[in-house]
Amino acid sequence: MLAKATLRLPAPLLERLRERSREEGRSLNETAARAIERGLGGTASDEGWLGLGSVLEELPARRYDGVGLRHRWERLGSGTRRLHEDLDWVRGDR
Amino acid sequence: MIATYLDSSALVRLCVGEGELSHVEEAMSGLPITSVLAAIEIPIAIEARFHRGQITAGERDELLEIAGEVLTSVGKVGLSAAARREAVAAARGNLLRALDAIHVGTAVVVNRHQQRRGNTLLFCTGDLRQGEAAAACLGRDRVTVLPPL
Repeated sequence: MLAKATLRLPAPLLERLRERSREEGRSLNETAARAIERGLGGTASDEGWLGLGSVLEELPARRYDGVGLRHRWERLGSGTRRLHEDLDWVRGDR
Repeated sequence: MIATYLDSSALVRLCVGEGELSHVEEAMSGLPITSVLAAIEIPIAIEARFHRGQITAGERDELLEIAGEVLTSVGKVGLSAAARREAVAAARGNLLRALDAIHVGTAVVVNRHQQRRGNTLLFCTGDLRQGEAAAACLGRDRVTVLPPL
């Protein structure tokens, strides 16, 4: 989902954005969005996420960390197994 | 990078590390997408397990934290008018529960967006019935149904 905002930029910065936009063959808007997003340390600067931006309500805030997740699985008790059955209940199967 | 729509039934497996996850993890390394609905379904499933007395408050909190990490790693699509319309359309040709249909309908909207840009969308679910509906809407070669647990 895209939102509109008006930003006041220092003229030299705007010129750098225009130059980058021309170099990369992207719109000024897309170039600015990529630069801001990169500056904020997010994941949406990835090529694909920018393309999907207009259909997404929320962009991912972090990259998937499979290694970290594995450590967390090891700490889970046996009571957490078969959580999909509770999801089925949420969906009205039982 | 390939975009994959992950149903909550696939994401919930990732929260607890159950079953064959290579396909889900591959999707998570690309452009993983789901509906905002997943951010409601999964935490409520965890709360339900706690209310049934199957997990402690500490385990619930741990699971909610893991679910939060998984869900913030995924792009989320809102319940737009187009998604609602496609959900109803998906249920016209297939026996679908409402929440399953919302996921399929949402994937159809994303797929249309991707096609306009010459890209594709894959769909991954742990639910056979939903997988059949998704295959009817998106094409069988685009859909992965995870092995039953």
